[in-house]
Amino acid sequence: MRVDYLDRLEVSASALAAYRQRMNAIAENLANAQTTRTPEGGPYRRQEVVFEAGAVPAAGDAGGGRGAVESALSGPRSVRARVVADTTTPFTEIYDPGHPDADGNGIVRYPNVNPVTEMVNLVLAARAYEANVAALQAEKRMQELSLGIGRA
Amino acid sequence: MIRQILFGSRSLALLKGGLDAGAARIRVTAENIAHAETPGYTPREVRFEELLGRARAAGEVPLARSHGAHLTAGSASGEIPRPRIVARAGRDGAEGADIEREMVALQKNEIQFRALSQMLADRYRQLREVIRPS
Repeated sequence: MRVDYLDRLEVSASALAAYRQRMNAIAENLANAQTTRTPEGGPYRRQEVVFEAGAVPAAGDAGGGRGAVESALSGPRSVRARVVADTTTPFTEIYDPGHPDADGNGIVRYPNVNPVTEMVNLVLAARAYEANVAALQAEKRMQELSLGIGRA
Repeated sequence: MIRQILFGSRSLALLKGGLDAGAARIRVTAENIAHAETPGYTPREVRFEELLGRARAAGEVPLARSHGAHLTAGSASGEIPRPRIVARAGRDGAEGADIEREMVALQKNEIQFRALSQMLADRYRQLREVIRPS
């Protein structure tokens, strides 16, 4: 017997992991908002986490066949998170000749991190995380209901 | 015979269809929420009530009878349609799912599922009452 009702939780679980990763990246960005030195040289570069749909799991249970539900679409897809460096936002340049990392003109290059943007993204990610927890709990409650149908 | 009593009745088949639709809907809604920020993802939805209505209008599904003396309408052989998962038709060109809308769908679906499973459980409870020797 294929325990397909347990697989259903996997999509929500992958989304939780993806948002967790995004929140980690935001924490890292905020922590390094003033970091002007990195092993690669230059100031810290902001990390961004982008999402993409994962591969369709083998034997997608929603596909055609004689199941309880019909669907012409591919089976459920998980969420995959990928960390990319933000190369489009320019570094913040501040004139501070006394700084050890100032260049010949007295300009210090600070990371391209805007704390306000990061905080907004953090709130959004936390909300989305909660929404996925709610979906997970709803699925669980409904499965419990199904198990209780035959009970006296 | 027993099979017919336990699973053959129209209303039970309808309840089963409704529960299947509810189970598919929670899965689809959870997926839409999970992919709220995935670029290129098209939200999905489950069609059932609409298919049922159409089948009923075409006379394929007999009308429900709340009383044994009611007349039946339509043929008894018609099959109850299976819930179908479809891509949601793109509205206002927005990509991804609207999370508030999905959360409402989640709540609504759960209440409906609760009601249907309650009805099914009641039905089986009645059968058990009848079977039990007094």
